[in-house]
Amino acid sequence: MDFLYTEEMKMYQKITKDFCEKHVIPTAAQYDKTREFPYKVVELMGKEGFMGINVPKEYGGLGLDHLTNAVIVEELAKASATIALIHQVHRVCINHFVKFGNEEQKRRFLPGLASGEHLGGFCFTESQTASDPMDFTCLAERRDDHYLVNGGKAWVTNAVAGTVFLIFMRINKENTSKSFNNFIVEKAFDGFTVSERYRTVGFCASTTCDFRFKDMKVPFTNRLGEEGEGLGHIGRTIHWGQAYLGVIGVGIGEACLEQAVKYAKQRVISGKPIIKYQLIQQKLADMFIEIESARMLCHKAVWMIENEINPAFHSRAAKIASGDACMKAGTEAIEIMGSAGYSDEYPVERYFRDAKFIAVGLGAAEIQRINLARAIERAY
Amino acid sequence: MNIAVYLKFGEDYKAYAEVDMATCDACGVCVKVCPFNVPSVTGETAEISPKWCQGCGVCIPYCKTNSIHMHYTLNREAYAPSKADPRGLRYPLDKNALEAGLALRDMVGGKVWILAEGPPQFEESVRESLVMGADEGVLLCDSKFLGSDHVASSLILEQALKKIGDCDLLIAPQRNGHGQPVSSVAWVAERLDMSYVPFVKSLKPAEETVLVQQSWGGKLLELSVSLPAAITVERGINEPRGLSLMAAARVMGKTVPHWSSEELNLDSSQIGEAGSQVRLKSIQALPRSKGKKRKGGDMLKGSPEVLAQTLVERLKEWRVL
Repeated sequence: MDFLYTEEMKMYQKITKDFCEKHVIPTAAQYDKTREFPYKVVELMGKEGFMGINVPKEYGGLGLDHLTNAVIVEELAKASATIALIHQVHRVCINHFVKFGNEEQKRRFLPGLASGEHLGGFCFTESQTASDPMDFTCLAERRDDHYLVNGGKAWVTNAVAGTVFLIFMRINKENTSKSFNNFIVEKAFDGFTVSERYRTVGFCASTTCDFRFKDMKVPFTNRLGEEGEGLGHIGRTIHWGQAYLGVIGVGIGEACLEQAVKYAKQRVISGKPIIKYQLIQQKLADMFIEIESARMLCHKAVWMIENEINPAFHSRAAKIASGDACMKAGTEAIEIMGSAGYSDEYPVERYFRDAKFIAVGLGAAEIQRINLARAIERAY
Repeated sequence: MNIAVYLKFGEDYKAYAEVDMATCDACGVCVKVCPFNVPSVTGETAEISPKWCQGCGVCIPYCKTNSIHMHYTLNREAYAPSKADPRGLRYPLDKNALEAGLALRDMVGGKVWILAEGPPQFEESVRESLVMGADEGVLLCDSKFLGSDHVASSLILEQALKKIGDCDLLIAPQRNGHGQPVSSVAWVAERLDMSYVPFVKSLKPAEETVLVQQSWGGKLLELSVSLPAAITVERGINEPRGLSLMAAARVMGKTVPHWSSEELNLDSSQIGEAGSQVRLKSIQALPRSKGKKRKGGDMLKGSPEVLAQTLVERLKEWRVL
């Protein structure tokens, strides 16, 4: 057991930090303000290889392990949580293709996703239902040589810029575990429409929209896994997503802590820097404890994914802990910085707005706590 | 074009401060100023542990009785197994030298070799160079190299260049990370019959030659230099590129070869202290100047507005503004 980063991880962390300092940090506030999708940064990330970090080498990616992925994602999130989320959703889509796609699907989609030519997305939630798949209505009916899709998906990240989406749909109206499948849907398909963008509190540049599908034809070759295998597969993908969303939260928390410490060292009140006052010290210590605890949970969840151990408990716990930690870190950082933290003069207000999503996204913290408690009841 | 970039890492000598018991009055100023909290006043004199002293020399000018002297010994610990963090490329001029080679290769094609001399923990520096885009990297690493002067160092570099084969251009930083000129390059150029140009401020390819701008005596000279050539580059020659994720994925997990004196066919009498004519023995602070006392400036007083106004007037008076 080793808590230290390997030399390779340190190098990837350094490379990501270097990239972020040059290309992400200088533009992060601007994209957040204008709500424009950061096409230039994402294109550059594709050229530099960031978009294919989890694509195996034989399909044009870098084939990095999950823990190294987590180190890179945390560093991206420290610079801009929006960029980290765009990257994260793209990677979740890739992860699913790598794990459950057949050879032909991998050859067809992974090289484009690895190079950044295609941007991936992931659609699960529906507007009229919670996250329980049994309530879902989006239906892909089997026809002679294709599936005919009608319905819609809500809250899709990368909706405007994305070109390839992983979509979870029911294939019949029965409510059994065999009634679902995941499909690869390209935006160019007829019958695919994108609704107007949501104006979100945080992650403003990530372009979140709803999708509508009307008589959209999806070829059989775009179905992932055998018929009826979707529910089990999507469960695993959601666990991956939750663990990595937790990592993004840790990155946001770390950025808050860094800014708060930097400010507290410089801000002098009554002749001494405010970092010397005990109330500020307590806030900083609590921030560190919560962020570090969340990081440990996230790393354990990611380590379990890497080692093919079911991460159901840990990825939920990681997302909940990280959501709480980064929200608290954002609040405390603003309180330490006072009016300066509350204004857009410093990036902390952006971190604060972004932090809320970690608790809300990919299954709200409340339902995750209930699911975790149910799982604990069964296991103990 | 085959380009070799020579980088020298690590300190051959370890410095430590020593207190002269006869003159020290245990005033404790060294305890206050040491950035590493090494000195202590336990009895009638101060003590500085040579084990922990970092040899920065900060305490020397503060000592009122001139009782602290620096001593140098050969840094044999540098090659001992260490748990110290591996060292990346930290000195900006090293990156400038590497970028000069990489940019030239990108223009005319060929290969960039990193020939780095230093202890094993600098393997990471070679790896970082590879992650920046160099094609091959070697660490010239042997405890026998310790204490080599410029001539002995040039022998090591010469053998390494012969081992990699044809080298059209040898590039090195003008100074190493400790501010010392990398003069071994001049010796190598002399022995291998290469053109030699120091203080290079820009570098461009041309047919069979390279065009360089050299800063010399406050002037900028444009020179056409025939190949093979050896150059040392100055700060500001370029803006070094960042680390590449793709190169990292290619390089990571690969071992950086270490070339010892045996692999370079060097006898221990030719290198290290044994092969050097120049050896560092010790270093002492110059006696304090007993010239005129500083007159001291005027202490301005008043509100910030008055202070600012007075300052502006003074600056105008002195024709600074």
